[in-house]
Amino acid sequence: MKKLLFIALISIQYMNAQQPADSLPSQEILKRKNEVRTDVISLVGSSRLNLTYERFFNKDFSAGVSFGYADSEKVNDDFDSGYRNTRPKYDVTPFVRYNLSKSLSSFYFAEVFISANGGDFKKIERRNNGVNDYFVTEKSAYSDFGIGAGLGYKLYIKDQFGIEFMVGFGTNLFDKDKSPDTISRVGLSLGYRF
Amino acid sequence: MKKLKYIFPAIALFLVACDSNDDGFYNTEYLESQNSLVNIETQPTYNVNDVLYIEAAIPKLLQQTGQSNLLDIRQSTGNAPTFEFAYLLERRNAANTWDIVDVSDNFIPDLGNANTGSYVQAFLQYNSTDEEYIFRGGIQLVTAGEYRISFITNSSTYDKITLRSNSINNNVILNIFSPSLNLDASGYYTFTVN
Repeated sequence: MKKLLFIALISIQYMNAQQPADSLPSQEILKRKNEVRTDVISLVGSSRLNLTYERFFNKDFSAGVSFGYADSEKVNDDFDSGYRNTRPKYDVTPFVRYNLSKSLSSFYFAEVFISANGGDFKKIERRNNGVNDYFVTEKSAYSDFGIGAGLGYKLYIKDQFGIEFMVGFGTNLFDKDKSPDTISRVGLSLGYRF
Repeated sequence: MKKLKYIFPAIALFLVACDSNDDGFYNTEYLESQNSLVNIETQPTYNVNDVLYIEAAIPKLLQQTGQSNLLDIRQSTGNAPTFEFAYLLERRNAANTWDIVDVSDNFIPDLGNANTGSYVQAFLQYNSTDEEYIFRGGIQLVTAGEYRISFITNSSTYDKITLRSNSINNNVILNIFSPSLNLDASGYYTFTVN
């Protein structure tokens, strides 16, 4: 996973070096206002399916929503063995982005997002069996809302096929006794713009 | 914008480096026994070839410090097959420092099991008749000199002995900190063999 991300970073820097730093906006790409993509790193690395739809309003702003669902064997094993006390299962993440570059075919962007997310939580509880006390691990579900922000880089090939790398993180707000303190949006996505 | 090219990968690498599951061991419960569970069977004097026994017993219903109800450790651990603790023997050398004594050839098992070498890994086995986990084993003292025994512990105080359940099937793991009547504040029982 770390190697993949490292290769992605190096690749992005290389690809960026091949492009004019801030080339003029392509009129062709502006006509394509919709994009769908999937995060390949989370799919391969952690069996987490992530699908995103994004709508481009103009050369500066876009908005979209990501849907994530996780069912990783490693996460499940770690959760059952007690190496982690949460098992995130789903998230719905609407976001708004701002293009930080002049180019529309390769650019950096800033993003703010909110996240509705949920999963399972476990905790050791002390109970009484009528006579004596005992400890038991109890599992329960959590659901929470969080906010966050991130930065990313996007590159289009032939104004249609997008490669995107993003790093973002935020915090859950309401059910913090159970939900993870930090929510992250780190991934390398491949998309199609139409 | 040029700065962003450097800041962005730096943030990404930092976050990836922080991506780990070392949040803690969420199936483990730590507690303190009110009574001493491990006893060094001390003698007024020791001579060469005497055997120094250590015995440990954990009752099924444990009196826990700060709790009014007894704790059912069988129910808490899902009937863990064993508990374990570890200790080592050292002998003062001519340079007035301490050498670890390999007890492989001098260990005398009595109750429970043990792995021996540079330290003793002692396993308490459950006795359903007496309703307690029990261990007893001795070390034959084959050479005259000044010795000390210490226990391997993860308690913040050295004079507490840690007994850990070998729970299976993801049941709660108990770490019991037991006071000892024989240890000094540094966690040693020191004696001389004539």
